[in-house]
Amino acid sequence: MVSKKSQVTVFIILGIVLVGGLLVFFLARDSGRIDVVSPEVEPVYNFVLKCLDKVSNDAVYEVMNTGGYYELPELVTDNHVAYYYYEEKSYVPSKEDIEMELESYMNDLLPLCIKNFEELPDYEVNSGEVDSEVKIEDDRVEFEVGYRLSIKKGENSYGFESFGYVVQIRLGLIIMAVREMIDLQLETPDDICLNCLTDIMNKYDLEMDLYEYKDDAIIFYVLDKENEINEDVGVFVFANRYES
Amino acid sequence: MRMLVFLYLLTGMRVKMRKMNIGMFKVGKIAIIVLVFGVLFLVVGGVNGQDGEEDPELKYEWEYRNVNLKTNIEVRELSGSKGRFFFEEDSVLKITHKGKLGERTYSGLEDIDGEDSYLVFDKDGKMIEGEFKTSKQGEFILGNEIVLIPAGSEVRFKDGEAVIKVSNKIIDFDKVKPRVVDGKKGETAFIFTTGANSIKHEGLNFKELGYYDGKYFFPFLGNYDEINFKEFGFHMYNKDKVRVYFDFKGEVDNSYQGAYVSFNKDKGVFVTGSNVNENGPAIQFTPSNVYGLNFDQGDSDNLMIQALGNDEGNWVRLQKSPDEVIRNSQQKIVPKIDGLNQFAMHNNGHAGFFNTNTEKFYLRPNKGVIKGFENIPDKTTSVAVTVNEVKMMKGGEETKPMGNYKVGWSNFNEANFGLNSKFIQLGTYRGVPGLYRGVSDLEAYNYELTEEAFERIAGIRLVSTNANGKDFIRGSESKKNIKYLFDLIANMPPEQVDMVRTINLGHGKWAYGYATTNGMQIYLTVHRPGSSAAGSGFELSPRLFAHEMAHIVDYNGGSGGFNRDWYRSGLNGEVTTSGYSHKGGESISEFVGFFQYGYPGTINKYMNGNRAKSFRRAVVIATKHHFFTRNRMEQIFRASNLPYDDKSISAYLNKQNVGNIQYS
Repeated sequence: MVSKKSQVTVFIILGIVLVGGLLVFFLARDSGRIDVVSPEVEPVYNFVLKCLDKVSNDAVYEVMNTGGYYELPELVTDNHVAYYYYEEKSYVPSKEDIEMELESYMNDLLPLCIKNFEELPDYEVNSGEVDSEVKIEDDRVEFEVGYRLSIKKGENSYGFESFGYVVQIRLGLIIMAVREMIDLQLETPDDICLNCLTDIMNKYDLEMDLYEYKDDAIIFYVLDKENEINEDVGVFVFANRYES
Repeated sequence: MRMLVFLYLLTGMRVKMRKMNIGMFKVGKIAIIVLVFGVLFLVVGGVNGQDGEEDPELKYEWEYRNVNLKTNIEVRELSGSKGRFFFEEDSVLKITHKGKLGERTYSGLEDIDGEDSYLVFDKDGKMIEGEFKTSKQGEFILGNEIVLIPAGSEVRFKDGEAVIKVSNKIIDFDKVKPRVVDGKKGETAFIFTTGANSIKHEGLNFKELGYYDGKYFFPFLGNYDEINFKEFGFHMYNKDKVRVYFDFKGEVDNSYQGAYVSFNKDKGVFVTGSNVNENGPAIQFTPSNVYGLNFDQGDSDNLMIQALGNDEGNWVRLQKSPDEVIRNSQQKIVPKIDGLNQFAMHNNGHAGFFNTNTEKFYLRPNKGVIKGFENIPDKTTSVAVTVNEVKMMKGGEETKPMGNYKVGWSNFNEANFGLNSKFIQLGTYRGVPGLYRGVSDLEAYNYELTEEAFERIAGIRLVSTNANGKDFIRGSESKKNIKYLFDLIANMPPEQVDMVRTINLGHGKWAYGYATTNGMQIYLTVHRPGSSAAGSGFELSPRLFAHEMAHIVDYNGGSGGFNRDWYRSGLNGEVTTSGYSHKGGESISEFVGFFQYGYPGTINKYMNGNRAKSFRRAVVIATKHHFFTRNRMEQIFRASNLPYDDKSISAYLNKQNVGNIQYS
């Protein structure tokens, strides 16, 4: 017969295991994934994550600074900012378009950061193509990067299929706010509604600044002051052209 | 009697000839023959006359009055209530009414060259239509007003409008001003016009002047649509040639049935309105304006306003702002604009307008709104002005669709929407998230970017040159740097600014704040040229500035009892940021310097990290004691995804739970 005391102990242990498991699960979920990395290839894994950190942040930073583009469209100012409103038409890219731009950025520039693992000469690493998928949420940008790695260290072989990274920036909200601004712009082709901009910025808890630029362009800066990226506040930049 | 018959025949014949368009030669011959017979008749008549009258008359009896026709008058049409009279040179018409108008004689009537001159009277003896010229000055009743018409004037009167073209000699309008004859309101619009600016009114000379029912207006009769009022500093354009009333009161006036301008030099007020659904005139202010607008010397500054018309009432007013006392010195404030219902303005190459349909204020960046000025010049800087209040009529009630929001316009082509006209935030300096540029209604912030102006507005002595004569404001860049200093203090609580007496700039290893017998001073290290610390290009770090200012606040005890509050924050002696290893009092300044201008992501980590409740409490305490503005405190909480309503602020201070934030 098991004593009551023993029963209690079992329950306590079970409880600890359960809570611990849940804790591990939630913590891992928060960071986006559950990875168990062998200590032997941890340097490779960490190196990829370091590059992923840099390239993800650069991607978001650069793409936000051009109006959502990695490869610039035809209609841009001469300081490389995409026009969202030109000759009374809207050229706002969709969220999916911007996701694709971020994916292209990652696909092109992650290998340049990795540099064939030259920094890790002790490892024999064969890498596949970078094939990333980006999801822009209201308050963050999620990178899911398919990057097959075969690693040989001595007699042992290891493999990775993909990596994940999250950039905390309210890009989804910014895109919604900007789209609202341009929809309003279409209603008053020559005019900027000052009240409306203030209302939209208040609605999304963002800030905005605008500057006159050459060729009848006004450049808009939408700022996410809750987050920073590359040691700067998150700034989304686009241009509108108003006929003179 | 024979003579009268003859005269009647004579005048009748003349009119008939005119109608038949008979050549002048033939007319002359007939006239001479008739004239000879006429003279003979006159002589005979005169000799045979029993009473020897000098001015025999034709007399017509109407139902209401007698009309005595004297010299050279011909009656063309007669009816029960109207009479139309034609006349020759120097005619005299005498009308005797049975009513209160009494007897009235119009003499010196002449034809206007090449026109059928005539007069039409109604049953009361009031002229209701007419075209004539006067060879003598005389009073005429046009409509129900009596008006003195100078000699040599041409009068065209029809449909309630009398255009009186006077000769170029100067006339005093007060002497000719129409006055009602029967106690009723004036119904005729009188327009006096001259070939030169020779109508005197209120000390001004007018080329044209209109008058209707006690009100004056600009008639815009000729081929021009502009008036330049140099003395009052504006130019008026009236592309639609609407009737524009005016007065010198500088007041809104809903009684004008049309557009109007009302300006007062002494009060520095200009109002333009349009109480009908038509655009009022466009008003362009000039450098000599008396309304407080400051035009940069050498610039072709361009500021225009226009009321866009609304039969529920519509006006836009520009007025000089009274000086304000800031830190014991009188400060000039840029002029204010306010308006009711839709209006437009141009400022340099940009336009702004309020639309009653959408109830919004718009900027039009590259085009004009005002008709005829669509291509507005964009070659200069804007004129600093504040659109202070916009009202509109809604269902008969006056509303404020923009609430207490204002539109601030700087001297640097910047405009934005905000509540505090002393500093309406624009964007932040690059790389300094908490440091905002702004638009201010302080005249000095816009036009006087000098050390003296900074000293006056901040109430702080600025020592910018060291013992060797090195100028740390840096000569050619001084304006930009002074503006930066203005922004620095504008981002700080005024109580904090008030605590410091002197700012010393220099190059040194240390920066420090200290107390002397001359009050609180700070010494700020300005970085070497090229090593910008501010994002503005100025080498003075904003964080350093905030840090040293915090020492001053700390020394002063904040708003009172700061030390006690700070010790309760739990951060006493703790240096908030890395790279600076002081303790004690430095922890306060380090905390303030960082939280004033630090990056939001890092602030977020502190505000939601292990010591969250201490940091949250410290932010509230620092705000209470004038280290941060309320606005900055809200930004910090917002950046940390934390509520910042009064209840939450109180809870942070007392370490109580806030919403779903549970304190242990």
